[in-house]
Amino acid sequence: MKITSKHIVYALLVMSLFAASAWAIEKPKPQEIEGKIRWGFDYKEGQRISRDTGKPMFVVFRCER
Amino acid sequence: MNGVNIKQFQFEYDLTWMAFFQNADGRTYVRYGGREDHDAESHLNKQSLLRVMRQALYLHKENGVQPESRYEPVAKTVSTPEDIPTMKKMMAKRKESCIHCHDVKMAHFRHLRDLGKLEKEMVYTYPSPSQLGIQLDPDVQYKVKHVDPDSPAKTAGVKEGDLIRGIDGQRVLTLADMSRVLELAPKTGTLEFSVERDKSTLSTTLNLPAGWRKSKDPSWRQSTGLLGPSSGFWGAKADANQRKQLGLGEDDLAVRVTFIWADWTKQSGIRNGDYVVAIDGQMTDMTIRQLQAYLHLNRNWGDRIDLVIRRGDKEMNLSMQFPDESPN
Repeated sequence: MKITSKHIVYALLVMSLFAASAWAIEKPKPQEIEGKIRWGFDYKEGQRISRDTGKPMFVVFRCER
Repeated sequence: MNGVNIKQFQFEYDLTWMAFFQNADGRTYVRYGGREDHDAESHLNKQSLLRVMRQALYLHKENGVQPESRYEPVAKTVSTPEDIPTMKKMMAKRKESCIHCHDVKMAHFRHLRDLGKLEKEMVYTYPSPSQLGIQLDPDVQYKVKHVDPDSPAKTAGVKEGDLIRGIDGQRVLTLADMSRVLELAPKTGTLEFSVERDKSTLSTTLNLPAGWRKSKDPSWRQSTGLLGPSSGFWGAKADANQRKQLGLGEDDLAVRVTFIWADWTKQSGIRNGDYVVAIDGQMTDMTIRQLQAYLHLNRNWGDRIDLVIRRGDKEMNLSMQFPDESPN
């Protein structure tokens, strides 16, 4: 299947970040980027959304120092 | 990294950015990230990310997760960074409670040090294929852009333009996929590569010579700091004007001291504003990070080193005695 840019943008809507968190840190709320990309910060919630939508997850670890 | 299952997410924790494409069960299709020593973003770019996204979507449609193996284990239990014995003590010194990626490796190293099992060569985790002479195309990361002469890849017959399809039977699409396989490769021995050339698939065996993981400039790795003594000062490379005044060339060591924090450094007589022009016999140009990494990886606590500094018009020979044990 040839995937066009339209497909990719559509996929990005749910291919969001779901870095897990615990141990005395507050989970950030999901962040919307220009209404197109929803970055989440809860891995288990990401798995649930992925299961519900049938879309893969894009899991990013990044340093914000 | 707070609460992350590090049995599931095993990667180069010295990195500042790393990504996985996964299905809802947490099974991985492809990894994306990694770097060469010289550039933190050597293999991060829009073109390659879009390519990998397309590949991930295709693999998702085909249910093409990486099969369960030692390279992509299916974590049946949970182990978090907080479970590393030294993590709690390490984090207690911080104002914030966020565990960074490099903290995972640092805490693990501290634990190994406590057990007397920490070795300097352990810093070279998740090696790049460039350690075997394979320079990957940053845009198409399974494509060989260049093969270094006199390298294991050259000897094995790997050629420019080859498409690397697998290593030790593991599908590889990116630098990060390959580094994952290389992370678990032996210290010496051989490794099977599957390459596509002229639409034919070939298999070749690369030799892994002693020390193959050791890269030229690991100074970007935070984890070097636990492997040996610190200079106890921070500084900046001299600029062109300063070098001219010092009578030094661009290839000569010239680091201007800007901050001193260690007692052993103060006791050596070094001062802010001094230019370090030789340290432990090293006189070639280095950044302050490279200078630090040199000491971490080539010297031990308890050692004594010589320095040559410039202070005004004077050149002075100093000596620095490191304490017998790390203060941290």
